[in-house]
Amino acid sequence: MNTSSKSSRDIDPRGPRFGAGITAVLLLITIVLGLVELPLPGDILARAGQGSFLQLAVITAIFAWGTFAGISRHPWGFLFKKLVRPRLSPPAFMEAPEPPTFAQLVGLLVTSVGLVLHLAGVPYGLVAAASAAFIAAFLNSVFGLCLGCELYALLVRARLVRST
Amino acid sequence: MDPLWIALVVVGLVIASTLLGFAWQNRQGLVTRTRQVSLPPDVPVALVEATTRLTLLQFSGPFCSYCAAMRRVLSEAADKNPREVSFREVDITDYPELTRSLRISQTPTTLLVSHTGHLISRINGAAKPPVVAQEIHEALETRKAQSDEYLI
Repeated sequence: MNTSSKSSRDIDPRGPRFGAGITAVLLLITIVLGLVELPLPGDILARAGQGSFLQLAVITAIFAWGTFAGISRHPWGFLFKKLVRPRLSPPAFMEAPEPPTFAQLVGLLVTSVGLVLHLAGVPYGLVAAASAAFIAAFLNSVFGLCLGCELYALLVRARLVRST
Repeated sequence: MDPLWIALVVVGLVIASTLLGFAWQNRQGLVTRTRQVSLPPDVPVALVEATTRLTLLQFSGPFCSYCAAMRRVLSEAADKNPREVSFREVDITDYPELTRSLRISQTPTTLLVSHTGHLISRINGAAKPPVVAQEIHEALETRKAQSDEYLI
């Protein structure tokens, strides 16, 4: 990767933070729903029809969209470009699209685990996964901290990621 | 489940995340100075600019949100004193062994390195221009004091 060159693919870093804010609110609602709908029904189809499951499924699908289409084609990104960015002054710096796209992948993995645990009938599985995803989305939105990105340096250090 | 309990969970999550965020923010731009000078170089000399006394060596990664901001701060700081300070940037993926020996656990991490490859200080995370300017000043003074000692 060439880190020293500026490219036109670069994005406004406030876009992903705006999106993370929406995701955080949706996740918090999912957590409330998940707790209200406890205890889990015994039937897997009943569990798959629960509001908390359906809402987390939608959030997971949005994470998948962000991961595979890239952060620049993220649905919240469109909202940001149409509604928010015209009202803001230009950003102090631009950001490469890879970090927030990687964060979407981490979000996708965490929420997918929640969905699987819920289908398997694990109590609090969905709530725990949604809480983990909420903390990451909240930190991203409010503090601009990308937890998934911080994870990457530790993965390299643990030699789990190798140079190709 | 009891609505009171649910409200507690929600409030608890928000408070916990806020505390985590402040803890992280406090650690951003944290400076550590190396006091003792080791004989073998800490950083491979190939990564250090030999023509200037001080190299600002930024470790970046492919998934790093503040590397671009830090790159700008550091290259501007180096441009203010091009005869003594230079700026280099490397990708941690290309030097995984250095992330261990130099204990790099986040990107960006910036090392202030002498032309002999000795680590003078490090800045974890992104830092504001005054912090960087202060550390450059401090590092140049330290090296000057050390080279004066050799003369005595």
